[in-house]
Amino acid sequence: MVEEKTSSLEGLSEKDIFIKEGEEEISYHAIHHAIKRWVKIDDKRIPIIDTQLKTKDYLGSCMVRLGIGRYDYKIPPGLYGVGHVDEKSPVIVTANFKLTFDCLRKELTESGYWILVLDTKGINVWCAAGKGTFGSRELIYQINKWELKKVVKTRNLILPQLGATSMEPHLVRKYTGFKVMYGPVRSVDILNYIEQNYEADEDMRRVSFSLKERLVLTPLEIILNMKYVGMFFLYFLLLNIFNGTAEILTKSFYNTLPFMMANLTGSLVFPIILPLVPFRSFSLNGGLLGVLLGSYILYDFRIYTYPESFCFKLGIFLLLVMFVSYIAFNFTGSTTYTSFSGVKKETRMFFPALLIKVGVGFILTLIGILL
Amino acid sequence: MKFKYLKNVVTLELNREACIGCGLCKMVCPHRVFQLENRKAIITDKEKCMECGACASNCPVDAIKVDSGVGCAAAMINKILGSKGGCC
Repeated sequence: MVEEKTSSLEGLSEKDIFIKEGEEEISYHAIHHAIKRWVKIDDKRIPIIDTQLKTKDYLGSCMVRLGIGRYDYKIPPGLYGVGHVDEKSPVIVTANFKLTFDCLRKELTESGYWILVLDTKGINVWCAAGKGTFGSRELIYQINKWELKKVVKTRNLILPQLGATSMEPHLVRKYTGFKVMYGPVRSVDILNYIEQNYEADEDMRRVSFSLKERLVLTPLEIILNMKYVGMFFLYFLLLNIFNGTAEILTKSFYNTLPFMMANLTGSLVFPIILPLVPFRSFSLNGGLLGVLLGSYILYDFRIYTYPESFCFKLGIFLLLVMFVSYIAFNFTGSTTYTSFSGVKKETRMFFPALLIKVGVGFILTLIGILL
Repeated sequence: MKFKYLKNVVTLELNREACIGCGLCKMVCPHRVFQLENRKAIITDKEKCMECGACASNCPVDAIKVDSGVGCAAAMINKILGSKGGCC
């Protein structure tokens, strides 16, 4: 006798599962340019989407990667069609992040597919699955809301493999009658998977973290870490005002340059050389890069118009090392292989050290100015 | 994949007694940690596990235990500082 597993849906009534409070009328504004026509099934109007991406989509993708209005690119959740859809077309489930949706639709052809977009709050499949928004409950809700049983005869759903994290296929089947099938990790393989009679090769099931996959993450990393560079600029501005030096702005700018270099070292160089770094701990690797950068800055100390003081030099060195170390450590959240327990362990070891060393770094620069 | 993170931290555990050999864990694992042997799952390389939790969530008989959660450093730091703020 197989005991049924306890589930995230336990204790909820049917009403809780199928009805969401305060839902608004769907606005297709964000995807309007890609809608080719509409099909009507019963009282539901379903948009048929283009498989060709337009300049607007590529521009949008760039903006998302740069972190400009990232959350303005949510695709309205719900049912979409691609090509000549009918009741025999396969159903593919995805997230409502623009990049994810575009990645999927550009792989499809006119032979007809349904796409069921879950409301993941504009987050990609894997992250949303980790948080549970791409999960059984939302899937069950969308299937019932769109009365998928009336739209298609098939009782199979193709989910991206990385959407499995919070999925409970036995529950989806119990509440909707649909069987969850896991497709490949990357949408590039989706048609192959369907052609191979819903079988994925080992390579389609394995995540990667190639140079290209790492590089696309770097613009956002650089931009997000600019806020720290800004804080260093303010700090140097205050020091220079306090010191009463001439050309305060120019000086503060030069003072901050090494920290901009530190940002690039941590946000760009580190992800590029990730397969080559010597340690397993991200903060140690970042620290090592920081020491290299810091040594170079000490060697060329005059360019950056810092006061010639041993304490100040030491403080700048420490701050640079810790800044690069922190950025590298933060990159654990962007990789495809760092474990939850590992990050927990590294956070516990690294974070107190970070606070102390940054504190010491600032104090040393202050002493360097005052003495 | 050649990348490896910290050693000896992974919490993944498989109860082979309970396993019914459905193979879902093998299918969903993004790092190919599971194999089927004698109609039951086995863990082949625990070090590769990133604790995403897909195997445990998909297992119909609750035979897999793994400590999984939002692994962003920012979320962890917020937790240490006692605030509830998320990440991503």
